[in-house]
Amino acid sequence: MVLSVGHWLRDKGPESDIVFSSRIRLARNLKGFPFSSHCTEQQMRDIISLTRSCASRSSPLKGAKFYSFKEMSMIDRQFLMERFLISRDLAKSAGEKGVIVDAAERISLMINEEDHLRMQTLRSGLLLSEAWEELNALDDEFDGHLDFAFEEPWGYLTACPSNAGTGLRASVMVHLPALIMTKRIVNILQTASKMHIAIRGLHGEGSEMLGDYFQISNQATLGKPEDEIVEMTETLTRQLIDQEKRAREDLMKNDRIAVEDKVGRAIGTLTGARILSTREAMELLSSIRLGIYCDMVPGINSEILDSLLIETQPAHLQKRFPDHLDPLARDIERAKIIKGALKYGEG
Amino acid sequence: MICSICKDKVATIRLKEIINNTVTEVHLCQACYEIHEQKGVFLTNELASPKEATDSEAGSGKQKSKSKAKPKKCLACGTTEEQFRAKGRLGCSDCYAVFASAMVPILSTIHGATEHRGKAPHHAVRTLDLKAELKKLQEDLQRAILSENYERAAKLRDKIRQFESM
Repeated sequence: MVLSVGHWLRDKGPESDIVFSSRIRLARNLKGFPFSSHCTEQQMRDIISLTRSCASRSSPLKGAKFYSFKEMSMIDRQFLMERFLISRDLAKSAGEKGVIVDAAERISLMINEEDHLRMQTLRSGLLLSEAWEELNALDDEFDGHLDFAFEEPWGYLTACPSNAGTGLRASVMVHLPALIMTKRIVNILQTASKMHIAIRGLHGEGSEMLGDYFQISNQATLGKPEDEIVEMTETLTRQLIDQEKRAREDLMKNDRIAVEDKVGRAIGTLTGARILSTREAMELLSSIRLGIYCDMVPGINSEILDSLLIETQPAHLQKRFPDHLDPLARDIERAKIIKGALKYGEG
Repeated sequence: MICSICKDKVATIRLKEIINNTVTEVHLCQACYEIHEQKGVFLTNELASPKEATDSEAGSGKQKSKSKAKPKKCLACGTTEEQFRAKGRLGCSDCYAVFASAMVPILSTIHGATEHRGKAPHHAVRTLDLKAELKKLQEDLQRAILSENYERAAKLRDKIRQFESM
């Protein structure tokens, strides 16, 4: 796996100045096996074999690679998580688990996570329906070879009842700096929880909210057909995009100096700092991303920033260097990389 | 369909018993099926008076709630209701039927719904089609009876029997 970000992020999708990525995930379990937490090591190995055998016959997964977690280091697992290819939960522990990733890093199949299979497709920008179409076809293909646990009236059976039914989670990662600056985000968060919509940090459940990035996803997986869930999440995202755009316009009209100050300070710090923590870097890069949208930062595009967002995460930095880096050494390297990228952008 | 014995969980097993040359069909959840299979008791005895049966089983002969409070355990994976409530996680597919009564309010809170509407895997599609067909036949039968079209009702009844024996 290479250090630069996957193709999916480089293909700039619709609304990518606000929507970083779209993701659809399906949770599936195999009939005849207990859920992962109750599986023996042999059963987990069998599930890996069955899934790999199916994947090897699938044309969308041609050239895909399997990464076993049996002897994989924590840094490597965290590296996969930072690229959104595996969940935080799966990154936490080794064992008879793994992930199958296609060459473009658009499709990943997590094996023996909380559920036997967690299949996901990723897209840049707002492309939930396309991501769903692709994953639905892959699910049908796997269904032709594997028997998925399904029972009426529950639907697809999952280890946690919060995923039962469709097992589908549609999520978008959105960048909402203006809604935060204008504090309008407070009302949005309250409304979202009433609408069975979850708003979380960058890496989903339990992750910290950093750099004005939020993950928005459907909370209800049961009671509505898949396409309705996808459509509802997409509609709500469009509403959020409109609100963020309006907030940006209002800021530019009524408080331009505050935006210019924020962006200018971010450029000053990122091009001058020698030590940068993940948190500080993400927050400052977020301000520059807003500055690009408002035409305040010539010569730098959002592609550079989105790549930096992933490539300056701790495990990515660690993998650039053969020797172990302590946190301070990582912060120094992070500052160097960002400074280099922004200078290159300016020149 | 709800279990004929506990009247609580979803029935996943259809069982036929022959007592005194009479065939009785019952629909059971996994937990009730396993309990009664182990006890070797004729289901129809219990069906006749489920309340008394569960009361005597609890050994109190007092109230129904006492036997209902008995902790549930999935015989397939060993998960207890207590573990499920504490962790919010199930151990296997069978747990859904075993903990159905606890599951319904949980699903309702999380999803605002308790029944799946969406795609189904290939092995379930045929069953779903058959169930939809059966439901339609039963509705047609009711209409035929109400309109006193007994000839059609008899045909529909035979067709339903044929369906149920599949």
